[in-house]
Amino acid sequence: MTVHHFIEYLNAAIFFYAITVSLSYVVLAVLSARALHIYLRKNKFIDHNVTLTSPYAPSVSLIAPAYNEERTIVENIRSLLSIHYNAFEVIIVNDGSKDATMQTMIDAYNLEKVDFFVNAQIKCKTIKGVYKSTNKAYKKLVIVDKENGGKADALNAGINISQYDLITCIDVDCIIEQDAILKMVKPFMEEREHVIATGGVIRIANSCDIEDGRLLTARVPDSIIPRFQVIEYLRAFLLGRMAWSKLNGLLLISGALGFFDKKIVIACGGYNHNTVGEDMELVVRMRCYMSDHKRKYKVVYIPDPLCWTEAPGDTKILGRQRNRWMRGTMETLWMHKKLFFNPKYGLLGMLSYPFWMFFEWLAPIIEFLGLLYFIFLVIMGYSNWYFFLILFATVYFFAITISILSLVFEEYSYRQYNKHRDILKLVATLMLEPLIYHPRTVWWGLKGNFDKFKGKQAWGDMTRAGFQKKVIKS
Amino acid sequence: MLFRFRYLLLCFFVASAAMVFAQQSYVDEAAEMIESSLNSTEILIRVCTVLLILFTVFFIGFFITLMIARSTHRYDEQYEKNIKEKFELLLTGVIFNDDAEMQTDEWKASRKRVVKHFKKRYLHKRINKKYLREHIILLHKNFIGSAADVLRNLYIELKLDRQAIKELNSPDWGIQANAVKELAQLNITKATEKIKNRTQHENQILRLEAQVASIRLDKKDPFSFLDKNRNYLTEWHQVNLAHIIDQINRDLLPDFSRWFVSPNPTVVEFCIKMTLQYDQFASIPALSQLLYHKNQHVVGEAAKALGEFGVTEAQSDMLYVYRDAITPVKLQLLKAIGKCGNNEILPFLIQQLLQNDINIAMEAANSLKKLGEEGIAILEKQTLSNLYGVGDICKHVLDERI
Repeated sequence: MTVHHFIEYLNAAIFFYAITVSLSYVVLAVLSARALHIYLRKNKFIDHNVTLTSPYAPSVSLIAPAYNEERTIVENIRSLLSIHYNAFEVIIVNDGSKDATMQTMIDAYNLEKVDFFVNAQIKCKTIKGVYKSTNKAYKKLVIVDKENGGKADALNAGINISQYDLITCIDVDCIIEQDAILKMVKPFMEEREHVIATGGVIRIANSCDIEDGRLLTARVPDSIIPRFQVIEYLRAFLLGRMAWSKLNGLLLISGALGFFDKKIVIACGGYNHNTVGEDMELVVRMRCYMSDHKRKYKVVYIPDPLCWTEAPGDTKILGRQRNRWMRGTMETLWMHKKLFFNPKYGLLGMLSYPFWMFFEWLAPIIEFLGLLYFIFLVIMGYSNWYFFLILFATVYFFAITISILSLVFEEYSYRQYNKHRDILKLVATLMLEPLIYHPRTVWWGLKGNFDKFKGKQAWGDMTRAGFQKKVIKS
Repeated sequence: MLFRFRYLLLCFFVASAAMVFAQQSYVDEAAEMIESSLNSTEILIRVCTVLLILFTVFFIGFFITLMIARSTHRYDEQYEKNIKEKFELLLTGVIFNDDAEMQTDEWKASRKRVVKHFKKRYLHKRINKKYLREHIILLHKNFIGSAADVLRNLYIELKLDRQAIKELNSPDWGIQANAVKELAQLNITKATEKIKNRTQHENQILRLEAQVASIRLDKKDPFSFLDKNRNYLTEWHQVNLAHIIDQINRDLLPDFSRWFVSPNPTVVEFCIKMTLQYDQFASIPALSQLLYHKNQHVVGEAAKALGEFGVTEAQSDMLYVYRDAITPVKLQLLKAIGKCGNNEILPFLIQQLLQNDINIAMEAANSLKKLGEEGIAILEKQTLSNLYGVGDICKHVLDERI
């Protein structure tokens, strides 16, 4: 092959790739619009209070791992116990905290060790003890004290302890909407097909008004980095996942709030300790399990904002988070490489997996190579600046059009940010995003690739300013 | 392994590129190719220009849509708030009168004035009609007795029921479902037959609303839709039906065992639940027969109901079907045995406690505890068991704090 051919093929490949990415976004947007419209229309007739008072509603186990949370744990547990649902238990797994998390819980909730039989159906580190409160007001609370093993291990311990068939895994420091369980349990009750998991929308809580673990008013974050993430989350959740759910091709349910059928989770072996992307890996494994056993199933996504999380406020921490997400994606894709264009797995193998591979994992690499190629053309004097500017402007306007479309979706659905000024702030942010924020995400993605090849396994420290100041380390 | 391979691949590409650029001839060739391709970019420039204009127009369009939508929503919200405040003032004036006062001519005249005022002032606008309907429904949900009746009568006098009945003919399932819901809430029976025709509708929401309405409105045979129900009754559907059944007069409740022979197992399951909920003891013999139903979910539900009813006579049937039951049904049978069994069942429960399945052992232990002193004595003895898990299970079950 001559250089002539090589360059021609390279150009064609980049062109084809760019067109496919762009078209896929357009298709996803159309599917999302349809799915969102149907959901909102159906939702008008839904009265969740019926589930709240029904003796026939399924029971749910909420599992929240905690590591070095002594300053906020009491408040967080109180918030979880106040969730609107009839039959549920809250399982807090103290994952070998080095601070006084355990003692704080014992003191605050009058805990004492009980003779709890742990049905160890999934592997996890040694459980040192299970505690229940002597106060009947906290009878829904179960505290598990175990050796440190990371988030996945803590969740597995919680699953072993849980007594109900539906489990929800949550981040203890997130703010869960009071009706989150009512909404998330519905697909399990409503669908004729076997629902194995449901996920809800995660929103950014930075700068929002929060009191007693509840979100009072949603506000657009004051600082620019979380604001970029607001746009990113809106696009991902309202445009992306809604469409994938419609196609029944969802590969990821956010670790901050996910509902699962416990039997399937156990049959699959629970959360994987060997990846930093345990949330995505579990969903993919559950889907593989169902396909392997030729069982019809669904993974459902709910567009209601159900969980509010604090987004990283500076680039250093955000970079670590994105680095971890990239490594998690790579690990999951590698662990389930058998899915790649495998017709046996249907849409999962033929569409979802390749999409994640080409447009999530490889996207930063291809973008970076494209940039290098462009620099090469500039250095060699082969660049056509006029064409470059036109192409650049086209891509830029395409990107911001997709972003503003997600704002339109938000406006026609949940309208969490209800001032004109909020909209203007978000529009300004989305216009800056491709120029300022996106190059950074590409860089973090590349770094994630590099770190993965180097064999990095750690989660990395996540220091959060906190609704109250705190440090999370896992 | 893959990572190493990718390293090698990357090295290969870098080396190839280096070799290519080391040879001037290749560089020249590349230059020629790029120059020629640049000439052909004119068409691409045209395409890009068109796309650029298109995306710019879309962006501006979406931005304008966003701002207009925000303003419209704000205006609508404000308008809705204002109009509903006005409605509330008028409606509360009609509602809050004592019964004696409501019989006076003065009150009747004042009420007439209110109706006239509503019609003249507000109901010429479709949006106002919509808000008024919504508001009457909301208030009606929160009132009982004469206040609810006043609201219902006002709704009829304002001829809002006619519009709802007209909407039943809409091709849109959403509009139909809304009308059905409204007529059911206000107990307007004029269109009951029309609504009943929708109880087997293909749209799940409309079907549910029609069935709920049928239960509320049809005084003769409100559950006739169960006779011909071929659709799967999801848990959600069942929860909603159960909720509405809970609100109707108990005298209207049928003997739910009538549907135990339904070919639709979800209908049978639902009727078992209702049999239990409304203490229909007369259905116990029919319930016992359901332990031999071909659908395992029905068997589990029947066992649960028999357990709750405390039907000791069903114990032998439960033992009989236990052998071939699937594990979740076995667990339900064990649970039921704990509630309705007697001491004759103890050897069976000990046997289940000592076998290998932890979930079954746990349920057997729970049942032993529920059977009282003798069962508890067995559990206490077994706390010292060397068998895997048995001792710990017994301790767990005996711990009252859990």
